[in-house]
Parts: sequence; structure tokens; C-alpha cells
Amino acid sequence: MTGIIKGICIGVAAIGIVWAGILGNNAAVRDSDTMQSSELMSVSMVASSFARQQFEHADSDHARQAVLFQISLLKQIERVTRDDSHKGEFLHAYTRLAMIEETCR
Amino acid sequence: MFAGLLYLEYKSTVRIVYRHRQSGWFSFLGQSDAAELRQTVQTALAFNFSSLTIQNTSASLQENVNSLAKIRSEAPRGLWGILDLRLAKDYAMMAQLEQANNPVLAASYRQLAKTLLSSLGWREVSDAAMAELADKQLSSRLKI
Repeated sequence: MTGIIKGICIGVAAIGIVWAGILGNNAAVRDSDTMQSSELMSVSMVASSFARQQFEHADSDHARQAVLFQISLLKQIERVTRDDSHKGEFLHAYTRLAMIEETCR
Repeated sequence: MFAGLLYLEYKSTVRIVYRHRQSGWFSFLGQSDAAELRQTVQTALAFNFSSLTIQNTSASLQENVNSLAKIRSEAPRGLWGILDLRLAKDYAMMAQLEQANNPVLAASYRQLAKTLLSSLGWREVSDAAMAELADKQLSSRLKI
């Protein structure tokens, strides 16, 4: 009888350990995916804001540098996220770049 | 007690798996590009958190300047300009806040702001432009 109770306790403990491990793994995967996309969004916003301010206030060389940095970052983000949700930002960036080049002529 | 142990196991699993997955973020870009992008996004996140906590006081701004200096020392070169712009704005605000009490200190902060903005290629770095930049920043809740 004691042996059966021991067995049940060990079984419950084993199930608990596996269950906690699975839950932990699922939470980490979910958090990691969420954080990855929010960090990408954050870096994209930072680069976009910087490019806009440099475009408004800086000379052509520095403005171009900021816009090119934003474009290269957007390209990397697009490769990572594999979607085209950044089309609007690309449009803004290339428009700014075109205007900078136009001014330099 | 058993429930406590299970909770500890859960938390440790979350931490270990998260760290493992985070170290592999963007890995299909190639080792070097992935590491650089990871560094870039983490710096941008630290920069955003730092900016969110700025208040319109000299002490808070000084704290942010210190925090930015630390972030900058570990940041990829591509982000230096972004951090320098934030620093310049902080110095411009500090100059504005100190103007009444300590004009000498205010002038030195203003000069630091001008130097940083000049290095970023800003065309207008007059005292009036610095004051306007500072006022805009001071009146804005979100410091961006």
C-alpha cells in the first residue's frame, strides 16, 4: 500500500516537473517572439525619427547619411520579419533621399 | 513546498529558454549581421527606455546624460548620431533650466549642445535656435 502511494507521489511529481517545463518553454517562446518584434519596431521608429530630424535640420551629407542608415536598417528588418509592412517608411525614406539628391544638384 | 519548486523550475525554464532564443535572434542574416542587428535593437530599446524617464529637471536630465554616455559606449557606431542628438537636446534643456540661476553653467551646457549639433551637420546652432529647441523639448511630454 505504501509502495503504491509512493509511486503515485513520484508520478504526480514527475508530471508536475514536465508540466512546469513545458509551460516555461511556451512562455519563453511567446515572450521572445513578442520582444523581437517590439524591439524591431522600436529601432525602426528611432531611426525614422532621427532621419526626419536630420533631413529637416542638417546639411545634405549628414541628412543623406541618416536616411541611408534608416534604409539599410529597414532592409534588414524586412528580411527578418519577411513582410512588407514597412512600405510606408521606405517610401518616406526614398522620397527624402531623392529630395536631398535634388538639392545637391 | 512542491508548488514553490515547480514555480522556480517554471521561472528558470523561461529565463534559460528566453536567453537561448534571444542569442539566436536574426541568426539567418549570418553571424556578423545578426550580432550587429541584435546590438542595434538592444541599444535602441535602452535609448527609448532612457528617453521615457526624462523629466524637466536638471537632475533628471543629468541622469539621462550619464545613462546615454553608458549606452553610447556600448552602442554600434551607426547609432552614435542618434544618441548624440538626444544628448544635444538634453544639454539644450539643461542650459534653459539653468539660465536664471547659473548663467555660466547654462552657457557651458549650451556650448556642448552646439558642438554636438554641429558635429551632426545642423545648419542653425545659434543661441536662439538652442533656446527654441530646448523650449520645444521642455513643452513636449514625450522626449524624442
